[in-house]
Amino acid sequence: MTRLRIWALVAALALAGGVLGFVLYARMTAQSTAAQDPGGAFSMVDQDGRPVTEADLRGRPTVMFFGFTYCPEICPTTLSDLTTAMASMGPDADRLNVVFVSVDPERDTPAQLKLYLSNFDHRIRGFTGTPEQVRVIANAYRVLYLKVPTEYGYTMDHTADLYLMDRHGRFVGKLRYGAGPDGTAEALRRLVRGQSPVPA
Amino acid sequence: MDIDRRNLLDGPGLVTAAANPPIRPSTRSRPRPDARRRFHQQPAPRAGEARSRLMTKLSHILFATLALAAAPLAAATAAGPAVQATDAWCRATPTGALAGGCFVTLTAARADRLVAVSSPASNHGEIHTMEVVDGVMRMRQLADGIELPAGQPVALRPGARHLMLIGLKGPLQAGDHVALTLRFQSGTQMTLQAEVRAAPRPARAS
Repeated sequence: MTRLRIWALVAALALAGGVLGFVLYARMTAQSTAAQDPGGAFSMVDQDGRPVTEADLRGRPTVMFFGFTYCPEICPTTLSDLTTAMASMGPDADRLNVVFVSVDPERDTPAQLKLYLSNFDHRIRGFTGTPEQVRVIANAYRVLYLKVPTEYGYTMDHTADLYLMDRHGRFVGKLRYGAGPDGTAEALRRLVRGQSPVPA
Repeated sequence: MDIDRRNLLDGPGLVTAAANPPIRPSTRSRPRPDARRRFHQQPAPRAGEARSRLMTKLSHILFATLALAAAPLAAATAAGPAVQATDAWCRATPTGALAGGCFVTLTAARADRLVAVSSPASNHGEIHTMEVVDGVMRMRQLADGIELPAGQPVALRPGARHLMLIGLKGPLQAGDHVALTLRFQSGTQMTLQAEVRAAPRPARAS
């Protein structure tokens, strides 16, 4: 009888240990996945020269796009898609942060960003900073950028995806370049509603 | 352009996000820091070929002379121009944009190469190619220009090879016309009036 009880206790402990181990393992895995997701701390200035950090974006979902104002095609196309999408969303668009981050801080001063963004929806904000600040935010978002010399200056290679973040600053998904105004509007609507993005 | 020169040499701008492998120039578009070379450099002569080179040179001169003499005639005859340019347009630019893209379809009667572009609308012109690979936009100058096989239309278009106007003197506004001067390896030069159009929808990214 006593022996049976001891065995039962051992079995129960083993089971509990197994469950605990599994839970811990699952949590660690989840954390390490989260640690690899784009997003995190940064310190930049906006188009009005005001300092901004990741804390300023909390409370609303965020769409973040990296580019530069010398960019002849990708950036104006994406910004114009965002503008069209935001116009089609009505007041829902007010519940979003839409941010254009420069990867070319040498040329993109706050004033240059402000002038450039005046062509698009006025709710789109522009972030720039020192080369080091840009490096930090690009690292946080796993964004790739590279200065490429040309005969008369340079151009920038850069990640063209849009980063979708929830209101806590957590990564939700990416929207690939070329989604168009309708695809962009759909992604933005889902983001506002807290739905997961349509898989690319 | 002192500023450009300085930027070009600046170190800190050459940054990649640490979590990603560094981007490699695609094989299709080798970076050519010394793009101007092409205007000056000739292949090194080899001793035994001096005579035949002289002959070739003479025949080139003869040919060029004939071509020059024939040029004004060519326009008037049914033979048509050396390079035909159709559908030249530039993408309207947002205020504050300092670069703009222009596009054209070129058909060369004989094999040729587009080597340069210039415009009174900008300080400089370059020939570029662009592609989006794995979500990353890459743009490269084509220092060797664009090959134009004989009789085959070559279309420059958004999302691909294009003419890049750098240092715009003002925004390109829809409805305006921009003069583009194209220079070809054969020596042919032409000036087009490219219409400025609002951006069309780009082809969906593949």
